[in-house]
Amino acid sequence: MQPEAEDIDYRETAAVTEVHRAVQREHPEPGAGELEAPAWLIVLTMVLIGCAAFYLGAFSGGFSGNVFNERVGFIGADQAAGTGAASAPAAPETLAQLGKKVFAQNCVTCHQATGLGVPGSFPPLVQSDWVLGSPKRVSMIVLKGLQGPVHVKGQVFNGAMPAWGVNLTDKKIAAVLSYVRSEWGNKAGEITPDQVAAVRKAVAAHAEPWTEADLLAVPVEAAASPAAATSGTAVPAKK
Amino acid sequence: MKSTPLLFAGLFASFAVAWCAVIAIPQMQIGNLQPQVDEENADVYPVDISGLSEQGRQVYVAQGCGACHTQLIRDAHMGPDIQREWGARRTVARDYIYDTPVTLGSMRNGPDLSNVGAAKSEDSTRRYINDPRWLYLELYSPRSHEADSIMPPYRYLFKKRKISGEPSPEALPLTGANAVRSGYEVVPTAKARALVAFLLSLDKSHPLKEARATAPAAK
Amino acid sequence: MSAISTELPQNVLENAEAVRLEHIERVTIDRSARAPVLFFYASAVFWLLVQNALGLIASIKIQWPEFLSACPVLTYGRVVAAHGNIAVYGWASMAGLGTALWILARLCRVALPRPALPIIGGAVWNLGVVAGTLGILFGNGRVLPFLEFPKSAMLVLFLGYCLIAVWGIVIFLQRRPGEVFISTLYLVAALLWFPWLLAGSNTLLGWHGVHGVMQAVVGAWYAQNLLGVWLTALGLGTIYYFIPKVSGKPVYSASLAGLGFWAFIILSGWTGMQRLSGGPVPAWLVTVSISATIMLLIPVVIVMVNYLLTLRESFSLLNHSPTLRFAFFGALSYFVANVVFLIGSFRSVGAVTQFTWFGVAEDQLFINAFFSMAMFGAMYYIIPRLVVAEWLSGNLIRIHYWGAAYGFGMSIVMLLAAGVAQGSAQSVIRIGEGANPQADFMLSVSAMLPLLIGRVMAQVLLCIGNLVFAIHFALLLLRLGRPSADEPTLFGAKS
Repeated sequence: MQPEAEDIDYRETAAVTEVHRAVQREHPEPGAGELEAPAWLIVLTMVLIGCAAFYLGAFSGGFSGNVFNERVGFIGADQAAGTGAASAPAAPETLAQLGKKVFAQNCVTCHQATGLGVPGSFPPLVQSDWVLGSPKRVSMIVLKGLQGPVHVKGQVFNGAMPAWGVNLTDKKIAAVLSYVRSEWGNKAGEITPDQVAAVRKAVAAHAEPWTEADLLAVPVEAAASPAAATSGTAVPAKK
Repeated sequence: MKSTPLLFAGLFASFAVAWCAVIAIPQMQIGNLQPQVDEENADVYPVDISGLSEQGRQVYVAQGCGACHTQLIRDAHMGPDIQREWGARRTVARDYIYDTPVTLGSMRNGPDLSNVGAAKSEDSTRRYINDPRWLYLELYSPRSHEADSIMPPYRYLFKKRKISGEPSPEALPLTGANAVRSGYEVVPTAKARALVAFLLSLDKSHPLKEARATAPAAK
Repeated sequence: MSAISTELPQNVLENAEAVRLEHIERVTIDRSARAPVLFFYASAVFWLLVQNALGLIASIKIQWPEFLSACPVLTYGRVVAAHGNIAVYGWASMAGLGTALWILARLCRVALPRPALPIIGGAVWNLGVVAGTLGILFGNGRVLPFLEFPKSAMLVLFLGYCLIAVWGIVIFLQRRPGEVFISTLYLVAALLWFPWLLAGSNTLLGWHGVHGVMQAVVGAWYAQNLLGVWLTALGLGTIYYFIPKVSGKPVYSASLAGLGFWAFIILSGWTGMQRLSGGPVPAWLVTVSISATIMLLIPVVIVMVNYLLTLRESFSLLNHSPTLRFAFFGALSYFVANVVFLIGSFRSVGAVTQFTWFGVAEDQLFINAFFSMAMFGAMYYIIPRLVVAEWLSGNLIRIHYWGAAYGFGMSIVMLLAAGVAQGSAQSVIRIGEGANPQADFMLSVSAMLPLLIGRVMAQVLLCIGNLVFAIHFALLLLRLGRPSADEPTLFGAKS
């Protein structure tokens, strides 16, 4: 509502000049001039936008909902510094740690927690050439199983080892093999899931469990796989 | 600026775009996270707490503990949270999916509490903390543990009563300036028990794919 | 002293009759606004005193933990929460709403329709603050900063707010045709943004609840928007009004002001996530807020340019005019607040200053040094026009000014220092391995305590200054002021 001249209580008008001195001495309501922006302000604006854009580009972690560490992807940062940066979802544990769980769930009934097996029934894994030797041969054993007599550390075992390739993934097989090759004083290198995958592919056509002769016919490949860890999997600690 | 509809539209658009960018999009990314499940080991993390621990969370909120204590662990390059053994790894969104309300806190006048209830190794410098008796005494009289502590005593969470028959197994071992008259004992009330149960349920150290454990191996 | 300025071409008033009608118009507007604005101001001053008392209690408890520790209603966590919420919802919002309604009425040249309804709105709002405070003190508080009131209290606040703010919008819609002054833009923006903010956040926390860390995300966004848009827009609009009004000079550049306004509105909503820096939220969210805060310097600098260049020939007025001095203090503090906030946002700095008193200082720079001082300036101008009497004593105003300036200033400096001391001590582990980790943590506590004593002293000064102001204001309400005269109550004799 804007006060029209007729609506005003004119008895007020005398009071206005007498009483409302504050209103009378006020400046008019403010207005604005039209002076132009100083040049330095424009430069500052450009600089700030540039800084903001750089910061956004450097520290956004790909705008992913899984990246909590802003240094992932930062130009020049050392990603392998082991500060906990998670670039790709890495395995939460080493291969051997997973292998220990796989062993406990699948292998321990026969080969025992000590890895010593049961004399006469189930062969030992401790210091066994089958375990410490050719990665390909031991992968074949786990993938397809073993039947018939087999010589382990001078003793003969005549049992039947089931084919674990049906129920276990390449990763789990690689894990359990890495575990047994580094446990109980065994010292042989890791076996990677890729190696197991390659063996699985190579023997895909073979349906039956192996015999000892089948395994011995497989040439032993050159020097055991290097013990150096690839990114994401540390060398398992010794007991 | 003469046009009212343009002004209102501009204001609303600015608000809405910002809201979408910083609320709606994160909600899509982290608003509906599920616990991490490892079928082989029947391992689910995190699990929702209930019962006494959940009541304890309400006591924690009602006492305003978040005014001095946080519950989040930062990356090593942001601070020595992990080095201080406040946690084995940084915390991520999945750690808090069952926390209602989420008590991240905003001040560290006191230590971080994310992993009070986590298992501690024998040589951990914080191995005293996941002991309910230690926690009761800390609540009753923080200065009995640390002479210069600025944590207020929460005596009203306890009650002093006459010993009837056998002393209660929950009675606090008070000595020195805190000692009570012979024949009397101090025991925790239900609120104190709930609060301690809540604190002991705090464990955000379980490994998660998006946050690797970085606890220092060397001791 | 001449009442007319000939600096503004569009307001050259040679005709005495036109002058007289303009005065009558202002008087009519003031009379329509008198009851609601005085009610808001009285509520605000009441809450100011309550907030000061709670803040002092909290500071004493840090130094002396047993102080009032037997009483669960006054436990530290609850007192601190109540203090912060009353500061924003009780003192700041009420003062801001009163000032906004008066300035809008004057600029749009529309008297407040139906003054009874904003008063009802104010009463409902006060009820919400009371309910919220009692909720916190009796254990029903929530956890997020500035959202500790129980959700029912927030709902009451929302209802009260709507009853008040709708009149501001109505005034704006009925304004006289012509160019819209920059203050009007800021005040209307604030009046619209706040209910959207309140609704857009509180529904996501109280009714259609988000889970887990998203609660903290919503909370951080809300807290920053509360300080950085709601209070800031009200404060900027107020200072944009009083600097040219008291000095009689036009604002330096309208187009710059408009640019600054839109940059501020577009960017401010994106800030806030730096409060969660290092926390369990995706890194990009924090980075986006930091980038927005960098760019937010642009409107901040524009606003400062306008303020300083508007005053360029009138700095001597700062010696005499309480309104101008308080408002100018607020303006400078606005710049400092934003610079400190930006510095604290960077992760490398935040790694040290997070979770320390530094964050408290950042909030206080906005709420106290910038907004509260601007509101004091506004109140010193507006109240005489509503009660039709002048402030009783320039000395009382002087006491308030120095109490507030030193009180806020020293408090903030001490908090910044304590935060840096605390954070630096916490960011490295000093003691040897195997030693008691508590001892190392206590190094940060012992670093901050002496500086916080300085803060207690500052708060005492503040309490004194504000108490003097409250008494001075009460005297005016009781019709014990100086009669309206040719000279307003100034700091000293005008040259």
